[in-house]
Amino acid sequence: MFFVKHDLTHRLHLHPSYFGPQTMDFINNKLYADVEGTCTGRYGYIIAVLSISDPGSGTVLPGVGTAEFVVKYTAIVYKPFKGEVVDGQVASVNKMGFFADVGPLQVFVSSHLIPQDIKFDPSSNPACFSSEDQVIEKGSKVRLKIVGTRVDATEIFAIGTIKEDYLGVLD
Amino acid sequence: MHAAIANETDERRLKSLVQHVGRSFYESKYYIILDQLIRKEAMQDGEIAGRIGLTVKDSSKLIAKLISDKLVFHYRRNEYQPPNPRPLLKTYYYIDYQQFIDNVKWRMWRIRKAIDDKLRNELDQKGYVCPGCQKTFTPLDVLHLEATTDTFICDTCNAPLKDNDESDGVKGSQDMMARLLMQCRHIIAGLKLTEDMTLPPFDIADWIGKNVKAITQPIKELEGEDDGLAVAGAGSSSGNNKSQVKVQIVADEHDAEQKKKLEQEAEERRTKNALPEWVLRSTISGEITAIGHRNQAIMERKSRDEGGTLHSQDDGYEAINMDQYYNDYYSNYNSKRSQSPGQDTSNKRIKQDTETNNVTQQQDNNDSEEEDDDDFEQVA
Repeated sequence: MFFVKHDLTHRLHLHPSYFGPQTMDFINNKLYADVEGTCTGRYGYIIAVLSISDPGSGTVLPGVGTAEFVVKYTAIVYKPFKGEVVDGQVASVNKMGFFADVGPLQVFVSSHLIPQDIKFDPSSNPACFSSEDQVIEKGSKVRLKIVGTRVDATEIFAIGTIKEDYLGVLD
Repeated sequence: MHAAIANETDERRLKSLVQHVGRSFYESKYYIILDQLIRKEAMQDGEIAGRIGLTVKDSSKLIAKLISDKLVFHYRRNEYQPPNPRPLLKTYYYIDYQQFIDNVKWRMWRIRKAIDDKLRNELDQKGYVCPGCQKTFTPLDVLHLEATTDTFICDTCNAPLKDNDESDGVKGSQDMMARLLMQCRHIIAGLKLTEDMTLPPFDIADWIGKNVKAITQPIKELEGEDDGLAVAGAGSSSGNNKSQVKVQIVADEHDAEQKKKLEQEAEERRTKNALPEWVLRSTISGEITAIGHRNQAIMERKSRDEGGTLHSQDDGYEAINMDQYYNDYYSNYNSKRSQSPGQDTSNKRIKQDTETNNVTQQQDNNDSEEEDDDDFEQVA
């Protein structure tokens, strides 16, 4: 689920060579590069920075010469929850199930959580799960429900199911 | 017994289903109530309380639980108990078998679904096991693992992983499902047997109208004799209205008889209420007083009415009454005047006057006095 998160903070260390009239631009660009696309266990994936508050003057670290800026910013974050229904694209398929990408999140759908009538077809190329009316192969768009997440400090894992009504391949 | 269920075996099956459900999911006090309720189509609150040996209040509390679970239904109506003119709210409890079956089916489905969902969620945790090093992986772990088109590769010994069917949670859930099916097999079998039954809807109001009439009969007679004042809520149920109509029909049949009876009662009342002798007759002279005359007239009229010529004689009767009154009056008057002279002539004249009924008594008196004066003059 996406959220707009205010008052996120990030500590930037800026080399003295960047000190000058362009310092603020460097700070902004470095913030974008540092935080966008990363994942924190607490807030989930940071999708995009919306606004940056004025960091003020930095502090020169003694003995190093680099300046430390504490930047406060607002960002769109994405955190998956158990029970959430999401759309994704199939990234890979094997006999045990398939992996789907839901934005930055990777979701594994085990073969136990795929309806009985959708069976693994080992003879096809690429490998796929198929039933009479739908085929799940690499690149297929699927709607799935997240049934479990494991949130690490810098990673989020999820497992999903398509064994419920209105879940499965999107036409 | 149940009017809606024609087949006896069907009825037995339904009752055994009710008993199984009661014993499977309820405490003994509840299934004792259910056991009683299947004996009749419907039972009054007092009857069921008597059967289970509790007060109406206590048994109602227990049944309320069954009602909220939609196993038992209730129907309320006002009834009368002979000494008490106010209606009492009576509750009838009954089992609507069609609703009961639907309800139990739905509940069974809910239980199965709950366990099914749990089973499926635990399948998520089922995970994989390495046949070589016995290392287990949860489904969340496999995201790290290297995958082939067939399976995942163990990160320790590079052996292909297999499904872990021995997971405790999975076994527990499967066991739970098996136990549920085992313990509810009678209910499930009973529900299956009801599939091909056709159960017409049970109309409790209709049933009570037909079957409880015997119990409420004396009460309804009381209603027929009421004082004609409306009682709040008395006409709320259709049963009461029916009984009132019936009472009227009975009254029509015995119309003459009842009228006679009423008259007899009125006669008795009249004799009891008759004016005492000292009012009707003067206690000094023994003459009939004005009230006595009126009373006599009423009595005579009544005796004529009984003779059957009521209307035709009314006017003439009034005239006769007046004549008699005047005759009596003047005969008395004359007897008092008998000592005085010229009595015969005056008496004759007076009689002539009184035969014309248009003159009032007062005028007559004046006339007679004048005439008396004349007589005196004449004599003088």
